[in-house]
Amino acid sequence: MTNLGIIFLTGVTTGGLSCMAVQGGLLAGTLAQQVEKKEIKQRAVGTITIFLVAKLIAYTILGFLLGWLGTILQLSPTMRAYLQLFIGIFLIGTALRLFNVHPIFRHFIIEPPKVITKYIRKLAKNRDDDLATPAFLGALTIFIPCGVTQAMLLLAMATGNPFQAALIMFAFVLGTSPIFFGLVYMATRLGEKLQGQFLKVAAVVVLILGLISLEGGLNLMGSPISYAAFSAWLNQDDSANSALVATTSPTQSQNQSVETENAITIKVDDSDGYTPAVAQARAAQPLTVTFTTNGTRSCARSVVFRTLGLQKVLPESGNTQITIPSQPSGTTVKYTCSMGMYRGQINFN
Amino acid sequence: MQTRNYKVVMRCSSCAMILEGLEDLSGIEKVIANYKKEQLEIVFDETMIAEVDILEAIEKGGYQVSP
Repeated sequence: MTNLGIIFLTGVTTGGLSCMAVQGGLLAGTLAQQVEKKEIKQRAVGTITIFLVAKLIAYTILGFLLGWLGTILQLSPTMRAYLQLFIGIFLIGTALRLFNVHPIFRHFIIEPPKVITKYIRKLAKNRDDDLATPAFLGALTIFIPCGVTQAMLLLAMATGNPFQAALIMFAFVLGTSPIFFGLVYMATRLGEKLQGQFLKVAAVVVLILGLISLEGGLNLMGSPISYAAFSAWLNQDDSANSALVATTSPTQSQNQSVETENAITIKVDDSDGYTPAVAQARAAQPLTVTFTTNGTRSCARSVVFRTLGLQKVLPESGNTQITIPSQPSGTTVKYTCSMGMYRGQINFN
Repeated sequence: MQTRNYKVVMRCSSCAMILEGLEDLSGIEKVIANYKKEQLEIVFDETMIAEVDILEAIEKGGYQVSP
């Protein structure tokens, strides 16, 4: 799963930017109603907190729904690969927009309908002295996500897991909260230069996320131009002398499987993904692959053999067998996790 | 009624939403902000608000504006 720390950092760096620029302005509108009242600061703390909590809950639920949408659509591995590629390109485009590289990158944005933004602006001017308005405003911000938030929403949907998606949005919006709170409370704006610095950091983080997503899409496609493909190709050079049949003494190489009776075992864990990453097997007969998990929780549990049209979700702990149909000699069957982050391959000889 | 088009440096798409808040100013009939083209179209009643006041309001929001 995409590192939640990076997601949180993205939120922190964008908290004082477009999220603040629009939503902070809306919130300030509701706070302005209390200017003449006593205990302004205490009231302001409560109002801002309610706004942020409502926003956090709303985006977490939205993330959950998007992740759930990803499961019910039951995207095929190829469709998921294209989605990852699209998201990666969108994120990279967003980063280049934030870097202000060229006006063409301004198209990497999804703009909400004007009627929604107009309604939310009107609501912010509500003169009622209650706490429902900031709560309602906070929840409605899901209709006016800033560019980076949109990128996070796409990432959440790509997980195809409602809980992971909800966690992504929770981490991101939580990251936006401290700076947002501070700036609104002090009713200040970031100086032009400081805002520029924040934007650059956000752009770097979004670029990294975009590259990770692009890499995932390329791996899912089985593309030879991904970074993981290059690494696997380098590892293959070390496997030239590995044993192929059960009767010979197996070569003990850290990254190679020991193969017997055309059955192999692959360990699945959160840190390394699939071990061994490169396996050898006999051609011209079916292969039994046993995937073993032990408290494994990452997306590596969702194994995809795209070229074979096979997809299997492994239990957190246990042994799961998959049968690969007979393959001609010289075939390499590649597989990845559903996000394209972990990959492995089986060489048939 | 008068219609004016301006070029406004917009850092992000949210700037467009903020600039459309100019509609709240008395005398301004309609504001259309386009982030992708960095363009702002304002329809206003010149008897109620002067163009110089509109430009001042835009610049007060932290935006660089040019005709």
